[in-house]
Amino acid sequence: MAEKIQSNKLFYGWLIVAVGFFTLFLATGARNAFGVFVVPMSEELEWTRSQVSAAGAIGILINGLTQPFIGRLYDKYGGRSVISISLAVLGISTMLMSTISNIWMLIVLFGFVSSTALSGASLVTIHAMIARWFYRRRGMALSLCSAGPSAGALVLVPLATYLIITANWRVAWFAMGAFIFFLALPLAYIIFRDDPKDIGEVPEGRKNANANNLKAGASGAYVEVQPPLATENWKESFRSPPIWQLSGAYFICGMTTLIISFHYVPFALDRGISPGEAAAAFGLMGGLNVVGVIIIGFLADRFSRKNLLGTVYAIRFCAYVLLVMMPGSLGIWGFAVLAGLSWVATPPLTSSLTADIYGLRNLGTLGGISTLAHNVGGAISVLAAGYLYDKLGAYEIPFALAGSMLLIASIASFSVKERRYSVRYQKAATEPSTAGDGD
Amino acid sequence: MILLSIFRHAAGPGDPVLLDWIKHKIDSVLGLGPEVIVIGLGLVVIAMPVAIMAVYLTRRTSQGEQE
Repeated sequence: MAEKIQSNKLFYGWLIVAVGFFTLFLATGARNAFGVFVVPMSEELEWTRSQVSAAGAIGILINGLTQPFIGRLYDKYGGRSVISISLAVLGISTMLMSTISNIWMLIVLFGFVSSTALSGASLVTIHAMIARWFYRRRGMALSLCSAGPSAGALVLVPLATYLIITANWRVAWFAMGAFIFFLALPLAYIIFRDDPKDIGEVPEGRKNANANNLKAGASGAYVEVQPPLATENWKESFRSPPIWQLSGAYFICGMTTLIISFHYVPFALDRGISPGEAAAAFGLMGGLNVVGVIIIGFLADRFSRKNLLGTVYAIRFCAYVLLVMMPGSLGIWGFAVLAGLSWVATPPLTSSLTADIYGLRNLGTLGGISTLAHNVGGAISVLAAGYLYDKLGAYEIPFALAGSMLLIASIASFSVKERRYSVRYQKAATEPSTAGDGD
Repeated sequence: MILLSIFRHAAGPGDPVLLDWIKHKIDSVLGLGPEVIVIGLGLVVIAMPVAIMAVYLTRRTSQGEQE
């Protein structure tokens, strides 16, 4: 009877996934709406586009640089407190954007404060928390919440646009901040739990050590399996190849996604595509992000994750080949479909492989370092593409260079020794241990 | 100053061309005023935490009954 009741009850980890999705939906979605504010703020406050762009560029830089440090704080103090404080700061700083009267306020609030806070409510921290709750279906759990930023952009970017039309940009900023502070923060504080044992639960996919006692709150012990590369100190992880392979591939992931985010529509316009068609293709790509990440979540729990990651990079390589080699609309639309499906598929696979191979103790720090690599790769490619465009007057060469790097990312991913290092392929220890201890 | 060049050819989710296209699409498909669209999208945002809290409270209530 107890077993039946237990099996009918919704696993608490799915609530964590839902809140993780919503947190990313609001935090990253509101961030993606920044572009909407550039024109109205510039016009009212008589700023140049370069001044507003400087605040945006500082924000990208600060967000990337703070990821490893926030990840370290996550490993030390736990996700619930780090994510809640980050959401409080992010919500307040976003609401304060409505009071901006000079460019320095924008640089401080957006470039520094909210960009740092966003690192605490990001894929890095939320993936690290969810990884503690799931083993067997970790790929699906991480993938579902990874759809949050794309879904958030689909709703919040138009919402901010229409708020600016109906009221003004100050009201729109305040609304974005209020959503974060009054909706995401309480939800995260009430529902997030750092570890299943905090509420007497057992992680999904782990057998309860005490089969006769399934009552929630009474157990929390389960058969623990340690990956061979799990270490006390995160620095030791960098003595083994997988973290270099995963972070290196993620660096190329950043190169090949951010370059498109910034240069895709201008490239399409250069090719003679109409603005409406270019925007439609870009919009389709955004919509397919959600589809792609859910498909990959389904596959990630059934097949080798490193092979899936290698395949995703290979598909993106094919997308770049289409973009550069196919003329006119065909290349634009073909790229939109293939790249859109592969866009957000890499974070859940990279996070789950890192967790599978190195364990959970330093996952925040390792995820933060991988994300830093991703953002550095993105910044380099965006700058290089802009520079090469100014010199050559065309995007084909920078796109071909970035795209060819994907072959390296694909090979690096395929060559990860997952079967040797991943916890998915290890046999369970004979002695039960407690969740969170040692892993 | 080199960082500023990042945005020289900026597209991204806030690209003016994309936003204009999204706005016209929404206007032509729905044919609603901007106020109605704001309320509709706002309700989508609010509905999510309400649904999550409802599931959380239901789960907690049923857990309490089992105990």
